[in-house]
Amino acid sequence: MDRYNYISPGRVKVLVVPINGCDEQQFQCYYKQVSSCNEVRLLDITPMTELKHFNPQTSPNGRIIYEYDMVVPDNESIFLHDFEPFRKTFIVIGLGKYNDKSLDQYQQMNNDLKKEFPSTIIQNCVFFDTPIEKVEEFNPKTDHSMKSCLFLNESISLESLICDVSRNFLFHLDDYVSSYSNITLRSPVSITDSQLLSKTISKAQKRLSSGSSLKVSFNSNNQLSPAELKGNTQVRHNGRQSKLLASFYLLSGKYVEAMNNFADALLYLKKSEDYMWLGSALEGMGVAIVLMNYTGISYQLPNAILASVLHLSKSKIRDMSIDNTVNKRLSNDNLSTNGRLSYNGNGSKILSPRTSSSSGVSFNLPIGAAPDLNGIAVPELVKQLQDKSNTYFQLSANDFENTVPDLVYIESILRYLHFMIHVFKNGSNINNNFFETLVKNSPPTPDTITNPWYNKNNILNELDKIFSLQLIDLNLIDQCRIYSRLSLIYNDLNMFRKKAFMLRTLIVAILPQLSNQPNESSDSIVTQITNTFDISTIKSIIIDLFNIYQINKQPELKSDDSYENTSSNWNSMQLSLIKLSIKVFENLKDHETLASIFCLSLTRYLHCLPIDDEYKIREKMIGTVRDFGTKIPYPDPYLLRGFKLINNKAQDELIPFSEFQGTEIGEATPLQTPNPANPSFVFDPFNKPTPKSIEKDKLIIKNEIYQLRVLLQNPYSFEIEVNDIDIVSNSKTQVIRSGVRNMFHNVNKSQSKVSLNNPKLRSEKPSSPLVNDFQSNQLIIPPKSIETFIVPFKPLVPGNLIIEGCKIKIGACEERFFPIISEEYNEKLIKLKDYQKFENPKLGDGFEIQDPLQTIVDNLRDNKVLHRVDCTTMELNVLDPQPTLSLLNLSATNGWLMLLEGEKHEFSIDLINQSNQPINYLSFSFWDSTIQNLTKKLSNSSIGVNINAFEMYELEWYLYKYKTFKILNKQEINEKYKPIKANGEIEIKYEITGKKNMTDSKMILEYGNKLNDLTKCFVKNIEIPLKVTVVPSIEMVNLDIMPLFLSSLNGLIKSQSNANLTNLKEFIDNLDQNISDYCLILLDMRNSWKETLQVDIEFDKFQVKESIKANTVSRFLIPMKRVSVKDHDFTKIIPSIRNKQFIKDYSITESEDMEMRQSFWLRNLILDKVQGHWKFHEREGIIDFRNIRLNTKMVNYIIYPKIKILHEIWNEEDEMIKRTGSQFLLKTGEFYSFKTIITNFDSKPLDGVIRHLPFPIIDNNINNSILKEQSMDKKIVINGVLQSKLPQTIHPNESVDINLSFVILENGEFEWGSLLDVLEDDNSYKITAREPVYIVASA
Amino acid sequence: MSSYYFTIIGTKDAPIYELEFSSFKLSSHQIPGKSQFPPNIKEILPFITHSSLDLIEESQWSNNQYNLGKIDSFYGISINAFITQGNIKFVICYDNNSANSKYDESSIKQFFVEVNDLYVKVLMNPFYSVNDAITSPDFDLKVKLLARKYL
Repeated sequence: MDRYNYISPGRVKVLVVPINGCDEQQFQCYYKQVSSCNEVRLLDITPMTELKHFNPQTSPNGRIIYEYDMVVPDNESIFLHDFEPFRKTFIVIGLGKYNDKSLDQYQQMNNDLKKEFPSTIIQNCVFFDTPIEKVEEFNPKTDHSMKSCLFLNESISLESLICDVSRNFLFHLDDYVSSYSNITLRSPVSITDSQLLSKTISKAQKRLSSGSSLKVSFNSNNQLSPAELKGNTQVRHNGRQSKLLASFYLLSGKYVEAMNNFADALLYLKKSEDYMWLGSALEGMGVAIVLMNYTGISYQLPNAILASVLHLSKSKIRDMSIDNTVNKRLSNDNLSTNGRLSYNGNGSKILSPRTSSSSGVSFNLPIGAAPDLNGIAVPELVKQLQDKSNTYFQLSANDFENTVPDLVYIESILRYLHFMIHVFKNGSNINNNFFETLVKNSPPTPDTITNPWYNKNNILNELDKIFSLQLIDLNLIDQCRIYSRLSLIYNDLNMFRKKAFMLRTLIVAILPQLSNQPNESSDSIVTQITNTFDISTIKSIIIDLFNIYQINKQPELKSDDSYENTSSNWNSMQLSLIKLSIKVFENLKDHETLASIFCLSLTRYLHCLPIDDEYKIREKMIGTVRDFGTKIPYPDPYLLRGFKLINNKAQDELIPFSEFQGTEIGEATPLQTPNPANPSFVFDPFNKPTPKSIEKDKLIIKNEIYQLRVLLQNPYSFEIEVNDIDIVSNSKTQVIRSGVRNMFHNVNKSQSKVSLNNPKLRSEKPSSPLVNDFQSNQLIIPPKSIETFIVPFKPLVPGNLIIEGCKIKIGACEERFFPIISEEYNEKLIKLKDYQKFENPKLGDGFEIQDPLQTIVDNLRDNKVLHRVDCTTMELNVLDPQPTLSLLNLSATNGWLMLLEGEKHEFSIDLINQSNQPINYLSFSFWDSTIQNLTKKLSNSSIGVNINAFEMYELEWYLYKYKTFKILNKQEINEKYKPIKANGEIEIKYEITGKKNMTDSKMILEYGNKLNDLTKCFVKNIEIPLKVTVVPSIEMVNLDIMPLFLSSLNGLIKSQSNANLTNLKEFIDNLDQNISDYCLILLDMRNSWKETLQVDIEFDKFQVKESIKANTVSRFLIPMKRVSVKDHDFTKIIPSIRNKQFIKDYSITESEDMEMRQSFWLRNLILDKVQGHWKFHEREGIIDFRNIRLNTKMVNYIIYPKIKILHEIWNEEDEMIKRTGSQFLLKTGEFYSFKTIITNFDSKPLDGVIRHLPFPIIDNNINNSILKEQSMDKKIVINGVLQSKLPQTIHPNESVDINLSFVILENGEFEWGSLLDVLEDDNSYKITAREPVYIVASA
Repeated sequence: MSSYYFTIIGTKDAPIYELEFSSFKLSSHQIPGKSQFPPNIKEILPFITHSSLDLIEESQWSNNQYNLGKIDSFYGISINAFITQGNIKFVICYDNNSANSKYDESSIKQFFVEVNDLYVKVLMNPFYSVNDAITSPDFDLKVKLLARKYL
């Protein structure tokens, strides 16, 4: 109810209580009915002429206004009842249902009521729903006596009953008032000391003297002397009596009498300087005037008295009169506006002081006009009265005995404020409606026109007076009323921050009492509080406060809010409010709300919470959950920071079948296939079709266990414990809870550390079945850190699996879903003000009040974090079960082999298919440790390290052609093991060759279950490692090639006779061709092994077998048929085994290139023919000849030249002389003919000059060249010239014979060589005869 | 000896700078500059300041001065305010027990004007945006020097 209504001194308090076993609901219903008729016109009340004061007949327009209340009045203010009678509860009405009892019984109830409430002056009982005949019986219409029990029926209006009550009231009031006539009225003395007022008021006086225009003089000696006081006593007594009587008149609705009595009182009290009563009388006068206006009673103000009491001069009254105001409103001249300004200024006390205004306006007044207060508008009059009243109340502080109690003073101000605000809000037009709404306190209609009497500042100044008093010393219930009233006033003034401040103060004030709530019987104040504020009201007040103090920001939701929250906000203030609210709800035992506040502070205010408070809140949170089972969401929405699938087993890697086949073929798909849909030839890199490859990392197999790495953060200063973790995804998965563990095993360390600091925290955990699973390895996230956990899980359904996050249960908080947070959005710096943001949201009527406590819980539960952070999901592809092949047995011991270089070794592996899926696809590949080295060298070549084509080919050959492994039972595998049945076994036989530098090797088997739909098939592989040690055996350490002549072996054969030579000799002997068609390959083979090895080398048909002792080198002589350029094309480019594009090498010349090609192809030819084996007991192996390198000289020995020069010697009888050994044995003095046959195998015709070069072979001991030269002419006589042009051009494939006859004169040995100078257009070169002619001449 | 609580409040009702100090004059035995607010008052100072914003906003439209003077009081705590061109509010709360309040008014005004200069300098920093908290130690020091000079 509007306790602080301005007219409340004119209202009669009525206590309404239930009687006759009335239940609450019924009572409320009755109460509603009764309280609806709260006004009784005196006209309607049966006249009671016998009454001394309150005969309603005398003032028929008056009204009795009731104020119904269900709360039993407290006794605290009883001392004020004599001073302000309206505080007293005069009437008690019992409401109950008629239930067929006798009248006596009902009467008895009334008597009980009387006993119960002795302080009330009348007691009445009203019985509802009485049958009509009973009403007739109990309350006959003819009976006009006063009845205490009233019976109600539909046919009887409640109003008439209330009239009866009013009649009773007036009757008894008359008695009551009469009893006062002989009492000396004393000023109320508060039970609680009101001395404080005197102190504070002195302060207020200063303020008044400085800021107010009232110009009250405070004389230090305005205390009267004792003698004067005595004389004054009677006057004072009369004044007080009048005032009291007036107050009663006010209650009884006789307003004119009230006014007159107040006027009398003013006169007396002013005279006796009884300020406290004077103030009260002035206020009463104001109320009377307002009520007379309300009831429409015409009245004549006691002008003289009021003018003197109010210190109003005639001129001022004239100035304030309505006519004048209206005139001023109409006129536009300077003077009147000035006047009006100053008139406002009276209240505002900021603008021009009153004196100047009055003097300014006084010129306007007609001299000698009578002062007439009736012409003043009611608000202005009330203002004058009230200002004066306040002044007198303040003055009363000087009189020690008669100091006004704080409560009276404050309530007076509050009532006045009610009036002010009412005027402020709809006072532009003072009419009946204005008074109606004022009295009934109905919500004012919004009015934009400003009233001329009060502005906000006036009201605020009036409010300030309250704050000059110590409200805290008042009793609690009054404090509460005052604070709520103040906040209401601020609300009316649209000052929401002020209102919030008041509400906060209110909550602080009631806080200590809230805790006492449960034992309400003991404390009546608390009962009243609980009646006044129920829990939901307090909650709504606090939510209101949260909104006003901007605790409604949602940093977990919006990055804007988060920016503001951290950068600049009133965190200290907000925290203090949060703490306050925690205390309030703790006292109220509202655990639900409390939980939300905990969440709110830990989520939004962590950055400014002291560590102590963090711990406290945590403890309280745990306590709440443990003791009351409240559900609290975990306050950190960003718990889950990362998510990754661990690919722990490499051999489990799955390759999609389609992809696998592509790599196997080894042919790169053409880079650019002309797209039929896109005929343009321009390559658009953005238009490139993305390969539809399946990401291999994301393939997992149904029912197999995989591990997830989960990153969880703990932003708090305490450790948190993960109690349960579950994966949230679109299809079914199963988390293996027992396997969840911390990735790094530092759990124990941190555990012990923290629990030392805070031993309490550990013990407080609710036990749930889930905890047991986890007890073996507790998952603790240390304070302020991010921990990694391993979560093993099993996908249960094949198909696409999208993991969205985790359901995690942290400590005592409820289990909830957390999304995977990947990134935080960054707030961009805004240097300019955002206009829309700049406008403060007005917390007006239309403002949608959010409940920040609900939003925080909702935000946390629903994970509304998307505006602040970016969340991801993890996509996995779950496959049907795939076959698994594993190694059962490897015949090599421990997987190690020791091989001699080139050695062939057989072994086998046994594999088993450990799954229920058959394997119908199996592919083999191998790897050995040399590959890496070779590929490295090859790749080096492409980045600039120069390797010529020859070497490149060699590397490639070793890489691609050298088969280290060979499968021996391919056929068997194909027949027997297709498919490898579920749980079936397979044996694979291998042959391995000891490759030089090999240390390690692997057999790689790729297998799978190939189905019709290739997209769903995958290939797995298994690698079987085999360690190998390769020991050098037979190596070719040197190679040479010599031309083979008949003379070549002469010396050797004699001295040595080993198997090789014998073979060679035999070979030569059996030769039916010219020996010069052959050349000799010399191979130096070394045995690096520690045992003698049997070596067997084959070349074409030639075969050599020999034993080489350990660490010795043995030379092998092998004849090779020379090669003709005609038979082979040695100019082909050196091929690339990798099919690499041919790159011309510009670092070598054309002829060098040709030479290289020639030697390459020749070498190939040799390698094709040569084969070597070694043997040692049961071990055997091949010999590698690939380190054969041919130089130009060797090449020349092997290849037939293009031009062949042959020498023959003929005698005179035209017989060709045969060689003896390698020499021609000639006689001195005989004629011989030296025949040179030049054959042209070239494609071009040949022309040139032939030169013969005969010279004697001289002992090296005689070193005399001159002698040699001289003797040459004398030794051989040449018939012709030694140098001659070829007689004809030799065409291709033709030959020419050149004869030169000679005679040898002296015995001796000669060598006869010849040289052909080939003359061509562009170049000329020399060719020598390959085989020189050795001549031994004798007599 | 008065104690002061000075706040700069941004356009969104959030403080961007706070300082609590006491008059440097007449300090006899206490630590100079240390505020003497009792703890219960200290706690509600932000609330008082916050609630006075209502009054600042009320009077900023009826006054063409930057310095709004004393605009509010609460149980002996007086509140003076100053509003900048950018609608940033300077609010100072002080316990009003010094005798010559006239003198106080003018020195507070001086203090406000000079703090405004400092604030404008802060605002001109390209790395500072409106309504950010002022964390510059230099600013803090200079405000303290001003407090020492005028209050």
